[in-house]
Amino acid sequence: MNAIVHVSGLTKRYGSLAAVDDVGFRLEAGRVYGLLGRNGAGKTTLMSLLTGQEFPTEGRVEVFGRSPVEHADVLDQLCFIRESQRYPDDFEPRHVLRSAKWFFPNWDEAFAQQLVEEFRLPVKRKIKKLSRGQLSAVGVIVGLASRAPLTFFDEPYLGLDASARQLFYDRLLGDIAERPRTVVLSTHLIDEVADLLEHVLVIDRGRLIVDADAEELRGTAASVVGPRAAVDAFVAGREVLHRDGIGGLASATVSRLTEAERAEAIAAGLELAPVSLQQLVVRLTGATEPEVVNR
Amino acid sequence: MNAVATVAEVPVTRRPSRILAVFKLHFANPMTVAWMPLGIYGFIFLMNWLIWLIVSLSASDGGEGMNEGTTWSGASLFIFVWMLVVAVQAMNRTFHFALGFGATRRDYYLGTLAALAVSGAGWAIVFGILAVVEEATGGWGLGGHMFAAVYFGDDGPFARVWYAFLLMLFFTAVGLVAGALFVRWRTFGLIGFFAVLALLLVGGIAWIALTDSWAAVGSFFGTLGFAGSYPLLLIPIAIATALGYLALRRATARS
Repeated sequence: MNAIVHVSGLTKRYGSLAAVDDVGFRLEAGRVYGLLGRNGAGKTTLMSLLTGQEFPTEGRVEVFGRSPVEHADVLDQLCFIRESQRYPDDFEPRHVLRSAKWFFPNWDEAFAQQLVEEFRLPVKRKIKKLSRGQLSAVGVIVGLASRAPLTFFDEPYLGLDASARQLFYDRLLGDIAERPRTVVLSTHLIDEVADLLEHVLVIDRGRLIVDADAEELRGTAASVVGPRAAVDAFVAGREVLHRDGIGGLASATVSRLTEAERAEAIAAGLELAPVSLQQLVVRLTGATEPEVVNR
Repeated sequence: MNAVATVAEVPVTRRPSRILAVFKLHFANPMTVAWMPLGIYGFIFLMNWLIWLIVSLSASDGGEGMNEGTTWSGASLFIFVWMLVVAVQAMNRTFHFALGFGATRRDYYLGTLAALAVSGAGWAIVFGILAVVEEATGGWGLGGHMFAAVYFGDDGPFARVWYAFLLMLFFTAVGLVAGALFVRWRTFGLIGFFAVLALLLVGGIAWIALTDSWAAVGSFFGTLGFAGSYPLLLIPIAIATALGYLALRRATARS
């Protein structure tokens, strides 16, 4: 396997709070990862640790074979677009793009200019005066045009309108098809990016609760809908991720069903519905005691 | 397939110098680093010149005493304080950004040092040239002094540039360590820094006063002269630069 990132026993504590708590996983080259979780779950901290911007309290991070902290040869191959990236106060987008060229070895100026046009980014306006969407566009352009072998996008499209988000997905997919690289996307808009993701990591309260192939994950749960009594009878003894009901109707989200079980459900007069990635994540991270789904 | 082959899939075509990148980053927007201080400096000079003009027009002796008095002008000191502020802000402005662009803290620090040293040298040269012009024009035609002030001695134009450069570096280094402490520990870092600095200063003055050694201090610097005293600034410059790096070495990009 060509893993480019190895993480094991990784913990980051701020005082008594463990922002990242004993996390371990690997990232393989050329794939698109979704790093999902609620606000404050530890997504940004985890990405800061992977890019050498934060120091781990415990555990090991290896990116391209060594710790990213203070290693220029590793950092050369990374690009981390922070949601809350701070820019020099006096900078305009053109200054950001001008400096990006000096820092990213694979920077494609023509591509950057094309993206500036497409995102309609005003390049001669103080960063402070940009709207939230325009600010996000600056990050998205840098992240795409830097063409770093390992790129992290942390909530890249806060404030971007629907067309700009679509443009981002299109350009990202198009460009990584031509120049394969590894992308880690952290986002709340899970449904929108679900088709893009090949592998999903879900983090909740600092702990990694899902590390699974996106295809597999979609099959891990199903919803059964029908008369309350039938639903109750069917789910008895099963692991129930979520339960809902109106009047005499109920729906329950249960773990993966075998073919026989599906047939059994249909025979019991229940309807089966797929569970979207977003619903699954909501159910996994909304519960007080999330169940662990590990492959 | 292994990790090495993976890396080669997207070949890194050129390896830019991160130190140089950080250096250039500080000058990416010339407004803050060059045009604004030049503008302010120009304005201060204009104000001074107008005051000299008023004095020479209204004084009964035609401003004879001004030639002497304005050699003590502190107007030129603005640029040194500006350098201190620039150094503090340089850190706060660009550290998070450079780290986000993949600079190591070490490269960031070296690039920033280089950028500040080069701007210090640039300002020292501008300063020196203006001092030469000032002397050649008899104090801008009015016997006024702003650049050829008494603080830089009379060892000639080159010595004056050298002294100005050292003083510039000194203010920069103080700003640099303050900036690094701010980036690392935010406001607490700055408060702590200025508290320690104040204690050292007051302690030093108390020590000199209590041991009754003002005369000894005076003769020490008197013996060294300008040429011997100014290079002593290199000691605090070196200490501040080292402290700044120690603080920055473990700083993170959390805002």
